[in-house]
Amino acid sequence: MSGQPIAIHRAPVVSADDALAHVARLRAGLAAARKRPVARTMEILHEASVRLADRQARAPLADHLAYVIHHGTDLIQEEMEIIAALLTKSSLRDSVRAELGEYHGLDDWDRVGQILLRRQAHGILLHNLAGNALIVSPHSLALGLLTKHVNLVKASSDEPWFAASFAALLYEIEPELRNELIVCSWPGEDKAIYDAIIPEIDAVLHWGGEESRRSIAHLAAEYDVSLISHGPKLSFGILQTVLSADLHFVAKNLARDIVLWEQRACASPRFIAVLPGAGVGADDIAQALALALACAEQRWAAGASDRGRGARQAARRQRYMIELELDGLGRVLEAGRASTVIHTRVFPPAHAIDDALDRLIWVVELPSAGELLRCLDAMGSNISRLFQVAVHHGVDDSILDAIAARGMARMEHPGRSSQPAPGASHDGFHDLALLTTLHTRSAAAIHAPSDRRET
Amino acid sequence: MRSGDLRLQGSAPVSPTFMADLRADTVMLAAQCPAVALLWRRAGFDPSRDLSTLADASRIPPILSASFKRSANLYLKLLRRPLGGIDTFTVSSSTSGDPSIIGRTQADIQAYASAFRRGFETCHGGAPFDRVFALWPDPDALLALDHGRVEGKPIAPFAANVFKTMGPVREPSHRDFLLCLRPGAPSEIDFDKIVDGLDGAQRRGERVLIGGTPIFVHMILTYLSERVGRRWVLGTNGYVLVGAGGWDGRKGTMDLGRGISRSAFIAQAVDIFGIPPEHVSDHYGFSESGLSFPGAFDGDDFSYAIPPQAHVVLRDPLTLDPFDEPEREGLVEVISPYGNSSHAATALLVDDLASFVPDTENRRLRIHGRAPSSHKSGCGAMLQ
Repeated sequence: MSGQPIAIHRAPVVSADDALAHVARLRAGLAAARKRPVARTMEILHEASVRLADRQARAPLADHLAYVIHHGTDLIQEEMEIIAALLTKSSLRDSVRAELGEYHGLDDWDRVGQILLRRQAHGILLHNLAGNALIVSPHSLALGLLTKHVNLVKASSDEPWFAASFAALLYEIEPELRNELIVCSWPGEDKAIYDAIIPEIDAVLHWGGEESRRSIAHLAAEYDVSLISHGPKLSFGILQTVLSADLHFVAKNLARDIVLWEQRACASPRFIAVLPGAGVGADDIAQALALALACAEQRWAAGASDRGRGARQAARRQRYMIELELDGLGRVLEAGRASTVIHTRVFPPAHAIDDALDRLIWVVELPSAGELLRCLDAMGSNISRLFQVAVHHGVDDSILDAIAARGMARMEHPGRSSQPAPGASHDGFHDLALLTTLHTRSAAAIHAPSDRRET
Repeated sequence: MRSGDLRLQGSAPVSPTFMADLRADTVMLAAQCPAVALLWRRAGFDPSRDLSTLADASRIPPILSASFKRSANLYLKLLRRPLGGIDTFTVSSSTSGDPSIIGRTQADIQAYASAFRRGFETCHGGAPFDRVFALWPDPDALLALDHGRVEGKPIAPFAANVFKTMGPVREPSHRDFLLCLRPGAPSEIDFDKIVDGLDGAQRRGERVLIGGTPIFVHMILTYLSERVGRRWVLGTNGYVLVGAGGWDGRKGTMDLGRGISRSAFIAQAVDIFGIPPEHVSDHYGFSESGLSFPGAFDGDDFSYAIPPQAHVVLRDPLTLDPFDEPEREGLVEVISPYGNSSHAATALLVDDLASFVPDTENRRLRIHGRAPSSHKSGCGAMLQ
């Protein structure tokens, strides 16, 4: 089958009645899902990963998605590589081991010390997908399948293609999955559908918008449905002591973190804090990052179908040039045509961090680690629930514990923000654990005292 | 020459003194506005050195219309004179809730009012009308309202001064303001007045104007065709004038939920009012520049004449490189040394997409709508 192009499918828009019919069909598939060994599910996902890793096979899908979400085709290709790597057998095996331990209990009772341990799926899982970071759909589906759920998937109305195409690829590999995985779509604001289906399902895995999370959370609480919510997140970088020998390597990796998903993913850094250290200064770092982003543009051009991009970029450059440079508060570096680095000593306000999209990055020079922590605290009392990834490079790791205490879920080396190692925290949790309930029974047989005497 | 002919001729060139005026204005602008001086210095542009021919005009680094938005908070830094010399801050009608705020003198306000009057006259001639059905609010009442203040200076809706020039009428009582503004609620159209008014105008053979934004005129047309079910024959005495945008179905607080087809709109206006198609005109303009681009329907779509006071550069939406090819879609940049004595809009890049109409020496435009302000959101958090 290799070499065959991956077929492009669109998630059909469904009504509440359609969605309920899907739920009924999925419930019938639950027994088969529970019976399938985790190793077999890993094989299915691995085979899908092999297909996705085949550049030729994925080319039509990549071109199509590039047009839909306005990423350049080369960038989509890179993003597909990341997705394929996530779904390999070894990556999945390592994830299960790291998140659930050596004896995961997904297939049978596993003995751990004095107990036998078993994990069970909640049952019918609704995946509420959102956003244009493609990785979310296969990642979410893999979590549902590995934990032996049957899965109703609500694809994002903005991008109803990838989840549906990925599901179709899985059906090709294992036709039984048609009864265990259904992808469809409805407008996120259509509350009636949530009202209809949430009482009928067992768990929700929610990604993306705050508004849909709230409406789902209310219903989930009312009907006692488990809700695992990955709301919108904020990521940033921290550099301490970048040696000049490392500068370009670090800058190149940061540029990749920024460019991936056009900086709209939860793991995309929006500002880089530069703390004092023995290495090169913030000015050199900003220059090197601008150069690296300009180079990245050669490799991963911005999508040509985004007709508003040039004006948005120019408006942001103009705004911050006037705002910062007139008063000597910073400098705007035009990094190639598509990217912008803004070097400043003033911690960016909320609207400026919101502007860090489409390859615009703030390089903020701060006098101390304490000042960074003060700025983070000043972002608001609720801000810690938004912190997702800190890409960090430096000799002093003490800052990492301080930001972990402030809610930061994952610390990574530059270049790895979108490629967490198996077992890395997603946003403070391990999904495989959250998606299962844990059941135990005592391992040792109970013997009567007379038995013991006889032995 | 019939009043309609000029707008179809197509290629009125820039005024003879345009380049000399543009050079003088840009040199002055850099001296008056430190923000512009900074942007030009950063881009390596020096107007006294780099601006010789009209082809050089695209070398002027433009100010973006987005920079005049309230949210950008730069409108005071984009003034060309001390605050004491500013009379009024005009605000746009902003569908997004983030209006442009432009500091102007009374002379600037007069200049843009005149520019709009000239644009309207291009389409319907200078003679006053016998009767005007105005789907815009009474400008005097609008200007009398308190719109607040910026830095102690009064705020006025940009459009109010345009309304003043629309539909010059022989007898003021023969102008019916059919739009009732209701504070805190959607505007209402007084449909009843128009049926009787049209009957009388037709009977007396009066010179008539029906005007407003595309959405309001569209609502009138729908009402007359679906509810009243009648037609009139106003002939060459009848004119329809629309402007201020909203073809996508949205304007201010109005939202039709769908776009308005320009060709269907024209066909319906011609059918119901019994007027020649060339008597239906649209007008393109924006509050940051204060110029008016009269548009005539040429069988495909409206084609908008660039007034002699302006030069238009189109730029690639992605790279912002200027280009000359007709029919290619680009962002609109308007360059004009006139009417901008108080704010830095000599070279203004707006977020509308347009193309040059072929065989017009790039002096006519088709407008394709707003460039998308933001593409699909992701899972990155927005803090505001």
